[in-house]
Amino acid sequence: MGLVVIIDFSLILLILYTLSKKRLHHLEQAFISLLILFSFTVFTSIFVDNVRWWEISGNIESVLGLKFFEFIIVPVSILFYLNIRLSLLTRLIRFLFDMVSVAYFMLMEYGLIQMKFLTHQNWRWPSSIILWGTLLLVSLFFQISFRKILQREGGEFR
Amino acid sequence: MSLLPMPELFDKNEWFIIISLLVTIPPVKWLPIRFPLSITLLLLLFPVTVSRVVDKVISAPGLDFYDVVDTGKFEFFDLIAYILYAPFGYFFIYIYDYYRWSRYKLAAYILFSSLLGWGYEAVCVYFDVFEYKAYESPYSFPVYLISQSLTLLFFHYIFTAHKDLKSNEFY
Repeated sequence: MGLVVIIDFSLILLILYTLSKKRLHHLEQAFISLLILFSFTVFTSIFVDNVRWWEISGNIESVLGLKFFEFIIVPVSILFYLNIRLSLLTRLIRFLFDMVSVAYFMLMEYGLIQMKFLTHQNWRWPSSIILWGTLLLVSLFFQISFRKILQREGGEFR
Repeated sequence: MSLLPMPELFDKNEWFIIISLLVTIPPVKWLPIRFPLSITLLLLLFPVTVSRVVDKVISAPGLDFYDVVDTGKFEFFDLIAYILYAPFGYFFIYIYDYYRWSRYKLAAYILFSSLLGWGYEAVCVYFDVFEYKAYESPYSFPVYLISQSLTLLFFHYIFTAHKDLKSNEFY
C-alpha cells in the first residue's frame, strides 16, 4: 500500500510540475535536476550504507519506495521550490517560504517513517532540519550561479 | 563508522582511477572550446548523474548486482570514480558535434563508442574498480547503447534550449 502511495504522489508531483508555469529556464532545470539527483543519492548512500543513520526495511517495496523518493519526489520538489521562490518578491516572504519548504521535506521524511520504509538510527530530527536546509541552500546557490553563467551567454531573465 | 571511508589498502583500483583521471581530465581543458560554459557543464554532469542513478538502482544494497571499488559501502573513491564518466561523455559529444554524422554513420558511431565503453569497463573490472556479483559483462552493452543514445538526445535538447536563451517564455 505504501508503495502505491509513493508512486501516486510521485506521478501527481510530476504532472503538476510539467503543467506549471516555470520561472527556471530549461537549462537551469536540467542542471538542478542532475545536480540534486547526484548529490541526494550520495547523501542517502552515506546515511543508509555507511553510517546507518537511516535504515531501510529489507523488503523490495521499501527499496523501490525510497528510489521513487530519491529519483522523483526530491528533485521535482526542489524544482518546485526554486520556481516558487523566484516568484516571491520580499526577503521576508522568501525566508518564510524557505522554512515552510524545510518543513515540507521533513513531512515527507516523516511519511516514509510512518509507512515503515525508513527508520532512524542515531538520528535526531534537528539533523533533518540541517539536511534539508543544506540541500535547499546548495540548490539555491547553484541555481543562482548557473543563472549568472546563462546571463553572460546572453540569457535574459525577468 | 566514517561518512566517506578511505580505502584500507591503497591498491590497483585506486591507482587505476587516479591514472585514468590524470589521462582524461587535461584534454577537456586543452581541447579548443566548442560549447558555451553552460552546455559544457551540463555535458560533464549528465554522464556522472546517469551512471550514479544506474549504479544506485542495480548495485546498491537491495539488488546488489555489483560493488563499485572495494566494498558495498559508498567510499571516497566511489565518488572520485564517478568523475571519470564526465570526460568520456564530453569527448563523445565533442567528436559527434565536430563531424555531425547522421543516419548510418551515427549508428556506427554509437555502436563503436558503446564497444569502446564496454571494453573500458572490462579493463575497470580487471583493475577491481567493479566487482561483479550477480552481474555479467554482456549486460553492460545494451546499457551503453541506451546511455550513449540518451546522451545524444540530451545534447540536442540542451543545444536547442540554449538557442532560446533570449526568450523569456520558458515553458
